[in-house]
Amino acid sequence: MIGPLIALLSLFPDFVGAQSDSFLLNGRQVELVVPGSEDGPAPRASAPHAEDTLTLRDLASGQVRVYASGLVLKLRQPGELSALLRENPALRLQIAPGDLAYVSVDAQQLSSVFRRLSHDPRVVEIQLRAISPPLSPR
Amino acid sequence: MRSFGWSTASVALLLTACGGGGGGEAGGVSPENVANDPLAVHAWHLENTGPSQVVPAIDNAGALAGIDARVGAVHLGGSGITGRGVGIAVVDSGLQIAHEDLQGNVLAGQSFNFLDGSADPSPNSRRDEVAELDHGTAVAGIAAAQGWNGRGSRGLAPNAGLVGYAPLNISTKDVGVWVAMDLLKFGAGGLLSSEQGFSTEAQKLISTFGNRADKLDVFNFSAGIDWASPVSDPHMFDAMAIAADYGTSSLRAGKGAVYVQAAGNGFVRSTTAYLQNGQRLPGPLDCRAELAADDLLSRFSEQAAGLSCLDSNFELRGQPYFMKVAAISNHGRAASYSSAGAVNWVTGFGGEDGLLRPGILTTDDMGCDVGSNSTAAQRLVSWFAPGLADRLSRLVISLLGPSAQDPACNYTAQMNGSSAAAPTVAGVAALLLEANPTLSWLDVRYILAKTARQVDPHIAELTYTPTGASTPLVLSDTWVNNRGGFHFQHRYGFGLVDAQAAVALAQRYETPAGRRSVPVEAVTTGGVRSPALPSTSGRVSVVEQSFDFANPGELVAGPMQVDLRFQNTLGRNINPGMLQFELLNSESGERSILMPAYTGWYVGGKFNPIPPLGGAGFPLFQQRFLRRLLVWPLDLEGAVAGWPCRRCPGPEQRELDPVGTCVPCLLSAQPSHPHPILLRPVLRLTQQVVEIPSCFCCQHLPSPADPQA
Repeated sequence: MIGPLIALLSLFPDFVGAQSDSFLLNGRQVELVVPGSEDGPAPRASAPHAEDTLTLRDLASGQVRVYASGLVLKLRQPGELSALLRENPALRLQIAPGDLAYVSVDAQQLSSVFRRLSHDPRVVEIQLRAISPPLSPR
Repeated sequence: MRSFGWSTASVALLLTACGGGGGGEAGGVSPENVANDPLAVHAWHLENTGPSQVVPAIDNAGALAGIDARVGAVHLGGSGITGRGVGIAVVDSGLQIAHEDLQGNVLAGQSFNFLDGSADPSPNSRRDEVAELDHGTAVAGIAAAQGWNGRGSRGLAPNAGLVGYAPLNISTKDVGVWVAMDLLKFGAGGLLSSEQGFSTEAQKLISTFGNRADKLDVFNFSAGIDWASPVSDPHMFDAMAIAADYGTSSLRAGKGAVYVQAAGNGFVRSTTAYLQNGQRLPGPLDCRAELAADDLLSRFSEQAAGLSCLDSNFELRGQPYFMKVAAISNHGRAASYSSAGAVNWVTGFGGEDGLLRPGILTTDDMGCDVGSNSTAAQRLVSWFAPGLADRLSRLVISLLGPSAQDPACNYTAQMNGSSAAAPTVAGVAALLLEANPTLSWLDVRYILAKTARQVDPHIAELTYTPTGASTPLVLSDTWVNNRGGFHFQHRYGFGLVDAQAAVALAQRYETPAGRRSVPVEAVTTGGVRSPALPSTSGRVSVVEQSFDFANPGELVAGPMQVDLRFQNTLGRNINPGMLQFELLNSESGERSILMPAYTGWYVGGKFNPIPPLGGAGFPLFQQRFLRRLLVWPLDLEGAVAGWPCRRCPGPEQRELDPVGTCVPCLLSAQPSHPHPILLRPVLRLTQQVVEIPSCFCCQHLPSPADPQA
């Protein structure tokens, strides 16, 4: 896998001042938005398509972003996946191409799992998944 | 395929359309283009003889002879280079493998239907993409319909092998299945194993698919997602890129498969467009309508006629591996719909609607009860535009409903779009791989770029004149030539693909020396804040950020990826679609407009503004400098933009904020105008820049190994 496209999630080791339900994503402190809060779809835009989503709010700006549900882990060694899953029962493996692992996590555990994996030396990167609207012929 | 709609304007045009040859006699077509394939003579993308060519469309007056793929001298009537031994995957809505003009090239048992796990991706009653049933069959025919078999027309690579992977979308929430599907259909099954812990469905899919894609050479993807802005968060894992990364390094015994994608059909508007959060914009995205509503249209040259509403840099899944292919029509200019962007690589043949003006003649799902060419389609045209139907029926050839030339409705002339353009390039890529099997995927890209033809030489630049500016801001350049001898324009990439020149170069090709095997990265430190903006012109502010590539003595060549990240420090919402991102090579003075202001992002930005202290990060790709894969994370703090006043309901001029709420204008005396920011990061190389395409380092002068240097 090339570096540029999958580059860096900043896995900063300390979270001074971080809220208990927040975590650091790409250098920004974010929190999970509870469904049904004020951060609904913008007017005039239709609702997201039928994909399970996660909505994160940037704590500094209030900026909201929506991702597909689940995490993608880049592992230092693919062979370490089994042990990682065993030690983190909250992770449910979806698929593991090469040194990546797509996992699902219950929303209420997302923040804590994200923080814990950020400190795990077997995990090189953690990312959320992009929303993927339906493909259209061109 | 683009959908077409009937409007008063099109019907009026029909009534005044000049004949120009739609019903005339064939003229000037070379014998090898006629023999044995009865419809090939009408396929202008194979050989365009000009206005006198008989085509299945009403108006051929604008045809420009020679605007074609130049394959006649390559095919040599079937005895030349025809794609033999090369396998093309059509990743699409379906592929009718039993089609009379495809079956001879279909690789038995190698296709796949992701709905039922069979090796038959043909359209059938289980398909849920009813409107798209015929798309993949049409795409396949353009790439590799069988040649010299007495049927239909022929593909660009008439003897290449074909497989189909379909459909494009399936209904499941199983992420494992989705990811596996993305990897398998693009040849990356080698990354997967039926491992315990996957869902049962994913395991079954992986094991059923097996290694059937491992021997393929070219992957054509005439599909995509129509975003209304660049996709945010560039660092997220992208299954298409993961697959193509594997495919370019592992398939073809390490020489890499060739990946081709349609650039998109959103130049004027887009029927659908998605925001970064997955929401779908209501109705079509129409940039010029939005700009008109905001009283901005007069600030653009030619009323923004040269503005690409959707930029091909909006969708970057699969980059930098997939060649983005734009579309041309037979009059020698970009197809009316073809999306522009700095990421476009080359141009293929897309045509227009295929009724009034020529589209692309190709295979269609067999029978008059299915496909684009059907009695239902004929009835539809007759109903909405009886005059058009009547004129079509009187043409020498008409592929709308049963006809003398095609009584069983097995072919269509209404295929069009960048969907049609992509397989023309995929077909030419197959010709190159037959001509020289040692070519790597990078070699193929290089050859296509090097030999592409500069068309539409007088295409105008697009400008926008902000309030108070003495000189307009250029949003899109005319053709530019870089110092490596490459010409580039955002609508065409490096130009129109030329099979004859490309094959000739492939046959005497030697890989340039000094190719870099790993990306070069250059990283800036710190950012530029708005109070320290280095220069302004009118209400255009310029932010420049310089950086050096780290390794002294290195030159770089190849496409470039720029990872941008900025933060809004203004204290109010900004619309990122009002920013323009450029790359300036301070050494050569060459500039690349990575993302112009006022594309569809301007509309999408109204829904997803950047709040105070909020930020955005996204990758943009450019080919203009023809260097490869330089990661450039920027921290450009200080993006500045005003929000345009609009006429909200009510008597007062008020500002419409990004979520559609009217608030008092900050400048109430007159409508304020956007203040686009020209982010002009300065690329500073450590040595004189010399373009050595597909060579990633080390040469000061064009390498002797560059066959055309």
